[in-house]
Amino acid sequence: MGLMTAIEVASSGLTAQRRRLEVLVSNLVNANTTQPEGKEPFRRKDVIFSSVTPEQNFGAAFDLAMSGVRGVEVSGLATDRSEPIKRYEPGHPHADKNGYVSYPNVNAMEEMVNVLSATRSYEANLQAVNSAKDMLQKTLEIIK
Amino acid sequence: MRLDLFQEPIMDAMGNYMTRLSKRQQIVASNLANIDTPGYRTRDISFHATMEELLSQSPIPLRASHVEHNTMSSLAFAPLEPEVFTVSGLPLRADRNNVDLDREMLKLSETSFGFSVMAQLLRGKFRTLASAINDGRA
Amino acid sequence: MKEAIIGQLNPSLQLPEIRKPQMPGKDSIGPSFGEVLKDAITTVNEVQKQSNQEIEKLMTGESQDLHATLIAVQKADLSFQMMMQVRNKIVQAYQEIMRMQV
Repeated sequence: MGLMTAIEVASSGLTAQRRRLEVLVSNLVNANTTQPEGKEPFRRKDVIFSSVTPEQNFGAAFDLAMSGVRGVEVSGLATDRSEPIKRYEPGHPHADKNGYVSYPNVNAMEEMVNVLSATRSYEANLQAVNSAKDMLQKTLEIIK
Repeated sequence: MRLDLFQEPIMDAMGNYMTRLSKRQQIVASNLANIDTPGYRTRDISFHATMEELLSQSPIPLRASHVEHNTMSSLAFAPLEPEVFTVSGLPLRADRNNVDLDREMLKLSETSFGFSVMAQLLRGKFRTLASAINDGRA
Repeated sequence: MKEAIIGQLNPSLQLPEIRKPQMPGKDSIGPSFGEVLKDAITTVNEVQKQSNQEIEKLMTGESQDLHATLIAVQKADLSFQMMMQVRNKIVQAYQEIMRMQV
C-alpha cells in the first residue's frame, strides 16, 4: 500500500537520524575523556548513511527497487583519524613524559551544530510521517 | 442491460491521480530520509498528469459506434507508472547531496493537499450517484 | 423635474398587450412532460460534463484555480438535485391526474 511505504521510508529516516544523534551525543559526553599514555585516546565518530530499498512484507520489493523510492540506513561508523589535541598538564595522571595529555579531537561547537542538523532532519521525517497519516485519514473520507 | 454506474472515466482518473500523488509522497519521504546521505540526488514525479497517463486505454482501442458513446473504457487498467526523474539545477552540498529541506516540505504539503481535494471531490461524485439511486434524497 | 423625466420616456413605448387566455388547441400544445424532462436532463448532463472537465484541468495542471473546480462541481451537484426534484414533481402531478375521476 502506497502511503504505508511512505511512512516506512520516513520511519527509516527517523531511525537513522536518531542513531546519528546517539553517536553525536557520545562524542559530546566524551569530549574530555582522557586515556593513560599508550592507550588509544577517544576519537570522535560519525555515522555513514546509505540509501536502501525499503523493506516490504508483501513481495513488492522489485517494484520498489525500480520506482526510485529509497529508505535510509546507518551502514557504519566512521572514526575521525585526526590527531588528538595535546594540552600541557604535567600534574594530570594521564600525562605523557613531556607533561602533555591527549584530549579527544572533539570540538563541542561543531558537535552542537551537527546535533541541530540531526534534529532538524528528524523533524522533517516526522512531518513526512504525519503528512502520510493525514492522507490516509483523508482517504477514509471517501466512504464517510 | 448493463448495470454500470461508473461509466464516467473521470472517476477512474481521479483514483489514479490519487495513486500518483501517494507515489509522489513516497518519493518526497525518500528524499527527506536521505537528506544526509552522501551522493543522494533529489528525485521527483510531476504533480500534474496528462489524462492519457491517468487513463491508460485498453490494449484494443474501442471505437465509438455512436456519437454519445465514450471511447474511454471504464474498465480499470492499471495506469502507466509515473516517470521518476532526478531534479536538476539544485545546488550540490559538499557531500554531493542536493536535497533541499524547504523545497521537500513544500512538496509534502502540496501533495497532501492535492490528495485531500481529490478525496473530497470523489466523495461528492459518490454522493451524487447515491442521490440518483435514492430518488433525489441525499 | 418630473416633466423632464417623463419627457425622456420613449413615446413609442407601449404596454405589452395583455394576452387573452387561449384555449389549448391542437397547434398550441406546450412541451410535453417528457420534453421538459429530457431538456432538464440534457442541461444537467452538460453541467456535469463541465464539472468533469474542471476536475481534469485540476489534475493536468491546466488550471490552478481550485475554486473554479469546486464551484463547477457544486453547480453540477445542485442542478442534478434540482432536476431530480422537478422530475419528482412531474411524476407526482402525473399520478394526481391519473387519479382524477372523469
